[in-house]
Amino acid sequence: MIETSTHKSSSLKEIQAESNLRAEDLGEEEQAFYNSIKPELNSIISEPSKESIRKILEHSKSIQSH
Amino acid sequence: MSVINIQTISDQDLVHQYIQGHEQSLEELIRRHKSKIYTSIYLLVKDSYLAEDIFQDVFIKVINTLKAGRYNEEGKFLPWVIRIAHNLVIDHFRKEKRTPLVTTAEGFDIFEVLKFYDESAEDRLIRDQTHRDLRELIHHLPSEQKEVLIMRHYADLSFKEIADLTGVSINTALGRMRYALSNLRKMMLTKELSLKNI
Repeated sequence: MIETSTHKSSSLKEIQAESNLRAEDLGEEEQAFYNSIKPELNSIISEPSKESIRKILEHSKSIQSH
Repeated sequence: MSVINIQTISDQDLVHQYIQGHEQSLEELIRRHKSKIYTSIYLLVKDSYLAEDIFQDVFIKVINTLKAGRYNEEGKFLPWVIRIAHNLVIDHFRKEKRTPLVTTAEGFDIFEVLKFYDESAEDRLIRDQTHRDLRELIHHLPSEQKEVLIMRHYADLSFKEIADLTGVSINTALGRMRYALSNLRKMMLTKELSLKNI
């Protein structure tokens, strides 16, 4: 017969936190590959033009708050 | 309000200040998050001009919502804005599908032809060969995998936030990220091998 036991101190919150942690985890190899391409992924970050920013801020100033 | 002070203010506080009429707070929110938001849009639509238009539309929606008093503490600011961006990108693709098919003289769908050459002159001038390779590989991912990768890496969303936004479970979102990485890896290896065989 296999003996099983329940941890007396496990609360629902702890179990949910643990499951969230597992759900957020990539495997070790996956994480290693992801880390290796992160610099390259970061290098293709783009910026919107100053013109877009200007238009957005202009629009904001043209609208009154309610 | 000094520059140093404003940079230490949380997103939520900046939102509240903006609602109260401080235009500088919007400027700071844009400054903080513009790269992530714009890059996320750009990688999805693959066209810098279109990405600029959508980026503007996103913030017009943000502004209109905040100033109309319709902001209901939608969780964190960035995931909320990314959700708006995501919906606008989907709207764009839906409209695209409804446009009549335009063909080249040889009978090919012009949008299929353009897909592989849909880079602006600006991209062609400034890109580095390595950057172009990875960007193209990302474009080749299935859309749901590309979406998760973009939201995770560029928009910095948790898998829970991605799951909520895309209407799937956390495990599905995580699974898509895993597939995205696995597919990127395979494509990079294939590219390496094909270059070695030249």
